[in-house]
Amino acid sequence: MVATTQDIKGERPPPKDGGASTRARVMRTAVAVVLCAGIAFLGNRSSLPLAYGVDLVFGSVGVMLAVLLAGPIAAVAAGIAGGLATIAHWAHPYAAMILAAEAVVVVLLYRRGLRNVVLGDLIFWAMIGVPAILLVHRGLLGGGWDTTLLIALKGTINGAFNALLAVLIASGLAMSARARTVLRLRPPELTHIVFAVTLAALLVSGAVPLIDTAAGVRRLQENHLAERLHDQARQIGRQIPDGRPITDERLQRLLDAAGFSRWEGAAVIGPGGRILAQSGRVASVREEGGVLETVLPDMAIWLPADASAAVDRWRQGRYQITNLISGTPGVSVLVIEHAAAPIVERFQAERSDMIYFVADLFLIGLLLAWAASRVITGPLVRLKTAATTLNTKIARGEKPDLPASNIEEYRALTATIEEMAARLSESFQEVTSARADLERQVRARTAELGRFKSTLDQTRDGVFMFDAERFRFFYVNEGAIHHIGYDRPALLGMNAYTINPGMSRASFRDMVAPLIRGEQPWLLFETHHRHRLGRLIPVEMFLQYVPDDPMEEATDARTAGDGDAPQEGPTGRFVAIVRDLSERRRVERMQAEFISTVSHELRTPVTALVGALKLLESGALKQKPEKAEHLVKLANRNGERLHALVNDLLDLEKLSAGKMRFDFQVHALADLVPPAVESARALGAERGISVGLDDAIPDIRLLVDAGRFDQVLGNLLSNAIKFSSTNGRVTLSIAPREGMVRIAVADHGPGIPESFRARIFEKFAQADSSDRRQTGGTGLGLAISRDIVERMGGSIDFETVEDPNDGSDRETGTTFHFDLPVWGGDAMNDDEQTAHLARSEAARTHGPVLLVEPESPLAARITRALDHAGQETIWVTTAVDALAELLRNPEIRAMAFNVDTPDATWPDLLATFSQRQGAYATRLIPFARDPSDENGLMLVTDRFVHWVARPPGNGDLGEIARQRDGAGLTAGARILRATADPSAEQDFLAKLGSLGDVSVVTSLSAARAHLTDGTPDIMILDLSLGRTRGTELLETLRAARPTVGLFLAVGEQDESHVRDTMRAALLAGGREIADLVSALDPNRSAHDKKKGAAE
Amino acid sequence: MSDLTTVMCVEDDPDLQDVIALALEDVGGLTVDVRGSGEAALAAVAAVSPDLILLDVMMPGMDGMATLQALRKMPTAADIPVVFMTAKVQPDEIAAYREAGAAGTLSKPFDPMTLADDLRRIYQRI
Repeated sequence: MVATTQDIKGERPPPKDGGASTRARVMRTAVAVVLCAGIAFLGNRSSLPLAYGVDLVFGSVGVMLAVLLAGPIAAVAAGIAGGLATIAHWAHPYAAMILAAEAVVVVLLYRRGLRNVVLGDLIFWAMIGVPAILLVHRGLLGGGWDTTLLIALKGTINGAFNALLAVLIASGLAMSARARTVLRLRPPELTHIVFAVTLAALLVSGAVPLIDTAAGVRRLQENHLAERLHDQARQIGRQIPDGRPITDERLQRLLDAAGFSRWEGAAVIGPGGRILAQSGRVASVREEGGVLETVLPDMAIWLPADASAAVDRWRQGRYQITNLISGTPGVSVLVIEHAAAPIVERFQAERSDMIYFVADLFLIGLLLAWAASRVITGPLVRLKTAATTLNTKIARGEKPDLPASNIEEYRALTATIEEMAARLSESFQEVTSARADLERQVRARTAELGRFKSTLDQTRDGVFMFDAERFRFFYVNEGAIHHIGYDRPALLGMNAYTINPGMSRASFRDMVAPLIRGEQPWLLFETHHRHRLGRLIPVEMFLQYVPDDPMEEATDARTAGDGDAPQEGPTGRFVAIVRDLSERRRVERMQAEFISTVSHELRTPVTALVGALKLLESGALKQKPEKAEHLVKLANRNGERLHALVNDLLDLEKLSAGKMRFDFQVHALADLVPPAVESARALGAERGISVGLDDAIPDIRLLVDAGRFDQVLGNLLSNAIKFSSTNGRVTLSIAPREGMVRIAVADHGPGIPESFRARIFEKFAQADSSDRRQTGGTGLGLAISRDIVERMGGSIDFETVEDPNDGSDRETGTTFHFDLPVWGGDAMNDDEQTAHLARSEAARTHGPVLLVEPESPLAARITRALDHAGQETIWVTTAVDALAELLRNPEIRAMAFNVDTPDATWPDLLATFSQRQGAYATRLIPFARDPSDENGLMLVTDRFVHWVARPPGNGDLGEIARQRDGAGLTAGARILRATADPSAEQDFLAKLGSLGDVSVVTSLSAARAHLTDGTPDIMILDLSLGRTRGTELLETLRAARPTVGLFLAVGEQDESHVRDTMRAALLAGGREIADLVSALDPNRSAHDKKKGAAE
Repeated sequence: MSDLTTVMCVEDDPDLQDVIALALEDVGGLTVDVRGSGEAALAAVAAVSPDLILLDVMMPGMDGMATLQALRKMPTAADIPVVFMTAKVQPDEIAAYREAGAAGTLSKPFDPMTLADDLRRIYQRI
């Protein structure tokens, strides 16, 4: 129903100002008590007569209003106040007690959750009210059953009716926003309004006409009676003579003669109230203790004043009229009475019927009202309940749980809400996904910025940023910190000119002034910085001024404004990119030194050789044959020295340019070692130095170039001999381990000085160059050996013990050793060897796949997929590792490689692989990362799509040649060059001619015609051909792909992403890992394999 | 100035030592004192007291320049003219040698038949 203040109070947080709020509450309660009590009191003082002695009273309206609006205290107070009114009215306290009990019970029920006070009141009457009336009226007051039942029924109806009135009043109040604010109410619930209005409407439409009819009948009877009694009074009056006195006896006779019935009585009253004559009973004149009530303007009723029920008192009542008698002295008034009983009793049956009818009506009304409120508001209540979960359902994208209804309006409403919820849900999902998207973007952007900053932070070049006013650093990256030696906080407290010893603040300001004025875009110069530890660092400095963004400036001006004069001076920032030239200088110095050394090393033997020959030629020594003979030997020796030196230099050059060709063959170690040992023994024999082999040579094989192997081992052995003292001993030991074999050469020479160890493998790095003269070495042997060993998939190192100069007799000496991969894996015994051979046999069809992929997540996924297909995978991340693995492992039957593996030794890898291809039917599957799918890959044709920056230069020729060789194309390859401007690359085109037959086209259509009709092996396409894009040729290229062996795209540096697009467009065998696995399937025939790889 | 008779030759390469000695003694008729290093030259210069020192530039240990500077600080050797013999004969290098106090510079490879005459010419010019 309607919430009371108390109900709401519990839901509110306790107010801060407890005292004031308590006072206010007490005040409110007091006002409510007074108001409700007043209503109750007045309500019980006013009555609406239903029938003789049956009146509706309204005291409990106050009680019910108190229940609904003001709480239990006001309700009980109202009950008591209303009760007091009844005591005065009915002269007994029982009604008051019942009303008080009614207030208590209904308020308790209400607070227990029975919000419908009409029902609450009915419950009271059924349980307490009716029994109490039976007890009081039948028991205590001795009323008749009839009367008692009537009173009980009337009480019940009256109570429920009052409750209904209260509900209507309270609902009306609660519908006013203003009243709600004042009384702190919630809006009324529709259920209660429908219930109350329906019930009231039924009662009004049913009971009012009935009551009205009853009242009409009674009025008719009473009018009739009054008329009759007045007639009688007039007849009597006419018989009383005017102007003359009349005796009492005469009057008595007149009355007696009037013929009053037994119900009637009359009296003539003189002045002063003296009864002059009387006939029958005249209660109003004679009897004390009665009350006279007016029923009509000219008729009243006398009722006895006792404690019996009003109904009974009415039955004993007497209607009375009074007629003034004027003109006759001594006579004043004629009073005629008529007992009410015959009229009341005649009406009694009708009255009971009426009360029962009203009760029936009430009962039916209750049911109807209840049903109506359920039917009308039930769906609404269910909708309301459903609506409370609507939020979460919408948020979760679930269908809301809305009640079905048979009422069209509700059905439409439900449908509307459902649709609305669906749309809301949809847009909520959209918003949610948009927000998630946005968050993702923000995260990505943040991460990108983070990566960007982290990249800048980690850049090797020093990046400094400083303000233009004080030149104070505000950003320095790791490179800068590393470069200058100060930590970040220290640097951020420094100025740009303080790290440059040649600069002062003034000279620095002068230097950058043109930048700030915008006269120069940047400065690039070489200078020196002072490291924290004091040393000067040669640097190349790029300095740029970045003026403030005008927008930012405006903001700054606003914030900085505030009455101050605008700031003087520039507000932009400087960014300085500093490159440490120390390393470059060192390399330059080393190159100069190398050239100088080479020059010296070459000139020395040349000088000796030429000098000796000239001396001999001159004949100056003709008389001195022994000297001449010495000179001939000297010339010879220097000729050989020169030869060795030139050879070594050429080897070194070829190795460092990657041009030295290796003839890789499988050799037994037992075949490789003895020749070098024999040579060394011959060399050592001259100085009595023995060369011994510690162990038997193990039965293992290596995939090496035998000549190069001999060169390395020979070099180490001859070095050992050179640095051994006469009659010393050089020891060779061979130890296989973990798939590698270690070949070690030990001498007992002086050892290598600590200071020299780091440079031992550098060119011309002998500890003492006089050694060179003494030992006849070139100073290049170890540098060459290291390069050769690495190219054969191995490594080289040394251990040394130098004379500690501390008097200890520790044996000095040096051991150089190099490790090479063993062909066929771990060293093994005979049984294992046999098993291994069997496995190797099987591996020719089902050997492992070598996967070359730099990124581990993709590699892991490919490995898993291959594993799932029953194929073993060996994964390496670099081409160097792949090369080592290929050399070591004869079982590798196929290689899948990411063509973007950033490794310089690709050509070697491909060459090695193709060398093995014939013997082991290995398969080559190139793939690339899919640019459109982070985790995807695509098989590409091994006729790669390569990238060349515009304009192609002679530097690209080598790459083109290498790729051409890698793709197995012949020297007579047909090359198609599409470029808009061939004149710009005359030189390149001429040189390109040495790689094959070159056709040059200048338009897209010509290129297309060539691709369709001709069969070029290599296509070098410029991405912009006049106004057309070279990419438009992709479709044609795709069709011509089987014949176009190598495709190079030419464009600006920043277009290199197009390469990925082109690769994707020309992809060969699908873009799934499964495609790769399928291409590597060992059960496909060799012919299919080739096709599979190409397609 | 008297004629050139005694030359100290400082050269680390033994074969070149032989060629120079032959060229100066057998062809040029000079007395030659051969030393294998700058240090050895410094140790012997007082005793040998040569008229001229022929000094190799690139040598292990003390190189030619260092040896020259050390000689200039020796009272007994400060005035002995020094001629550099080197493969490094870029113009700026020659200037550097002259600045260091070299009397002349001979380039490698040299002609053994004229070596003694070249030295004599330089010696006379001083």
